[in-house]
Amino acid sequence: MSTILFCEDDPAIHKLIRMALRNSPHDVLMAHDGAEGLAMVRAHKPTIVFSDVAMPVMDGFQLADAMHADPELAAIPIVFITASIQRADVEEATRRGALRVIGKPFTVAQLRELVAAVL
Amino acid sequence: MLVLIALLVGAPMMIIGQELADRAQRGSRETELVRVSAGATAGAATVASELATLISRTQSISASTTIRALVQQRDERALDAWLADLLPLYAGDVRQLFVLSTTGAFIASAPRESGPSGGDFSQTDYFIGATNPWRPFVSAVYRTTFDNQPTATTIAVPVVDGHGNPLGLLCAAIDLTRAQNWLEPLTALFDDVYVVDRQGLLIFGVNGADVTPLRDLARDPNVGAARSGLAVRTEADDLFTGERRFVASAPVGTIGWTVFVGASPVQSAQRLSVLLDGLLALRLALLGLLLGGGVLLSRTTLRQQRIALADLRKLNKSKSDFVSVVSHEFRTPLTGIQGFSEMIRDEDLSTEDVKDFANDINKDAHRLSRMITELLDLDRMESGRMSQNRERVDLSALATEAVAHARPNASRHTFAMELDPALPEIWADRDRITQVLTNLISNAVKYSPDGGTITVGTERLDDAAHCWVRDQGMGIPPESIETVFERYSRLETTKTRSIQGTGLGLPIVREICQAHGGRAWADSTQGSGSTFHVTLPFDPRSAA
Repeated sequence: MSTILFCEDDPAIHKLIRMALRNSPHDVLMAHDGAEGLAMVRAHKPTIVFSDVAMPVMDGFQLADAMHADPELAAIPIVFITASIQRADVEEATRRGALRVIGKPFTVAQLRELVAAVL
Repeated sequence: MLVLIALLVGAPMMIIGQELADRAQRGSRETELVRVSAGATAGAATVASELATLISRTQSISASTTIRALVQQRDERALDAWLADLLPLYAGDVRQLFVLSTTGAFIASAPRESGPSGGDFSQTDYFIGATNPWRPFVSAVYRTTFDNQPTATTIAVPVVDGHGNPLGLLCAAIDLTRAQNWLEPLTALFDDVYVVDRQGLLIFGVNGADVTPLRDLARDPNVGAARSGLAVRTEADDLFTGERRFVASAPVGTIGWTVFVGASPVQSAQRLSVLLDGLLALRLALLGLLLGGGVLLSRTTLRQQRIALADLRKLNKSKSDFVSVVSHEFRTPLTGIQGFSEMIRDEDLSTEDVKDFANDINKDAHRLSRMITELLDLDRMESGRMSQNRERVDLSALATEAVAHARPNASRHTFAMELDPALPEIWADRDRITQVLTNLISNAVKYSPDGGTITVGTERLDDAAHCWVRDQGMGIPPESIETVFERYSRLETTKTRSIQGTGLGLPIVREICQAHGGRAWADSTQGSGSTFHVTLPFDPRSAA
């Protein structure tokens, strides 16, 4: 069994992800911002991190930078879920070693397929 | 012949040149004073904005649930590690992050090894300043022992629990050598640029002379004048070199720091000669214009075109920024609508789940529809296309109606009315004023999730009706008190993130008030509530 961490600040999307993955065999953890996410990454060493980009306190890119800076966390893959899928943002995400970048709105099917594909 | 032409053309030019030079000399003292004064104002604005950025960054860190939990648990090692993760967010402007308890005891820091070891910080000015009452505070400059740095200044920001009770203090020690860079652009224009704290101690300076931080300048008459709240603009001997200077000062916000700028008359004279060279160049250019026809003209046109192009680029960028923000705001509710409806369609759900998901879809659809309506409203208002059906309106009566509408959705709140029964009628668009009141009251409900009393009041304020809506909610930090009126600038903290909004409510309030010749503003004490005020001018006939 794998552990997946989602970092997302919108409460409605939080619920959507929780509901979409409630029958998943994996452990699903949820953080509300990048800083909380980073603390959870340290505590739980998830198999993969799905992170929103625009979040309060610490954004998704800063979270990725902080993870890369720590040898213990650098290998954990990150998927960015972002509402701004302009080329510059995708390039920025790729530059930060993103495994994938998916845009909002995403479908539940896409989310489940992605989780199945990367784990 | 040639000599004659030279005399005929050259003599008047010499005379004109001399006249201009004399005038320039007479005007130069006043011009220089205006210039140093403008320099000081620009410097103070730069320092204030850099500090505001550092304060708001520190506040956003202090609002995180993680720091709250770690401080409550007194998990020093985890807190050290967490602070170390966040330190790079300051990109080098902050040398150390540290956390103190509510009694001023040291808890944790990053970097750890160079930090102050244990001990009591309750006597520092930033501890005292940030805890009486609890608020963000910028310290005076002080001598420090860590990191081989002679001086530091610290931003202290309270860490509070979910009810607004203080848990400790998050402190960020600013690297003053980096802070010097803030004023670097001014050094090309002035001889002295230096910053003095509220005690009259030199914080940092950028100029040729040897500037020792922490030097006590309190006895200097100009520093004294600035500390007593005056803006200095005078001629004086330089503090560092003893040379003559034009000196001006400007205060940095309300933190008690002052930026001083000095320019030497010698340098001014050099600038004068540059000016005279400029006059010569102008004369040559005029000659060139005569000889070379439209070359210069076309160059001017080219420059104007370049400026116009730069303006257009700026406009285009702000349009792109706007589109990207709007699309971001729209995609979030769309994700919910799409996802929940998909699950209802594709899965065998219990009736309860279906109802629950349908409720989520409904909420997101409403949010989206509200955003579109408000966006269109705001666009109409900003371009002056908002139709206004003005009539005589009883503001107290509208406020009573708006409260009656809000009551059913605010079961945890009580409403109090402080209405002026003798308030003259205003001349306004009834629907728009209802929109103003509805937005303010719904904000008051949303941003006081624990309930409390919401007070709606009206009174006469000179030639206008003043209406206010007061809540007992979480309040607004001082640096956001104006920005909450900007589009999509919703306050983002751990406490507000579960509050849904379009980020357009307050900009609309302000637009409507301004369109009516009134104003909208807010005041707030963080942790104990906010008051939003609007003024709307009276109907000229009923006010008489």
